[in-house]
Amino acid sequence: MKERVFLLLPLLMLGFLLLFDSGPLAAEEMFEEVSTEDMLYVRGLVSKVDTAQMQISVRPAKGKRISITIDPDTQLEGVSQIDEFEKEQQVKVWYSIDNDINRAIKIKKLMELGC
Amino acid sequence: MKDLFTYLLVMCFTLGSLSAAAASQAEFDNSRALDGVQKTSIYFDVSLTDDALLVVRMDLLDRTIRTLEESGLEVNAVIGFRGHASRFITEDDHYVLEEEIDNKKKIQEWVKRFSDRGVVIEQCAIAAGMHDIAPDDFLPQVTIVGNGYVSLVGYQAQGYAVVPMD
Repeated sequence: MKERVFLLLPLLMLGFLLLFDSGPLAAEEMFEEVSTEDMLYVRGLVSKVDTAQMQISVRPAKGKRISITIDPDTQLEGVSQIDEFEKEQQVKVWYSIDNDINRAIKIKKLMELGC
Repeated sequence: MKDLFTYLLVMCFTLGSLSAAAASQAEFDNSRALDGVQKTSIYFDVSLTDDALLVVRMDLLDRTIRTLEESGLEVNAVIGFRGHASRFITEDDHYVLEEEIDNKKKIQEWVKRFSDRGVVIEQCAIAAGMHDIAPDDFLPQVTIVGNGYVSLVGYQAQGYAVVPMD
């Protein structure tokens, strides 16, 4: 009986590890850097920040700028609130279109490494 | 009559200021620094973010090369782009904000002019990757190098003077 517990214990621990490790991985996989049926993706430069309207404008590398609305459910990475966004910052945005409004699901501010 | 007087006064003041500026520029030279120098090599390290400032710096960079050449020196110059400055040496109006497009065109012109004069234009591949710029999107005058810092170190080891433009 004791031997069986000793054998099962590492297996259980491994199972827990896999379970907890896969959480962030699964969350990352949700945000692929491509547009899907569920959400659109754009990478570009912040061209305008409108804190009153809770909007930022993003200009993709090749294309016209788009306005993105931030709501309380938007996941922000690299910043904690909208007024921390600045012009010319690089961002990745995942959004959906709801009644002609581009609602941000997640916005990730990219690090400026100066390189 | 009063308007004419004001106009003449302003003109005199403007002409006076311009001639004073020209005279003061003519007074200065770099003869002590260039004494005995026949050849010089320069690496301009360009990593500016501000488009307007980058245009001004391109002009200053041109003036620097020209002044050395006019002093009778043989000049080898390399302009290394990295950081946000990388966005301005790409084709068309891509990778910049709408309000930066006019200055981007001026910078593109400068790159063409420098290249025509034999100045080497280099772009750091790491910086290009960080800004998600495809190598094919750079101007044809631009040579992409693996790592801009390595280039900087290498040129410095070869005796190039490094001039930062950040």
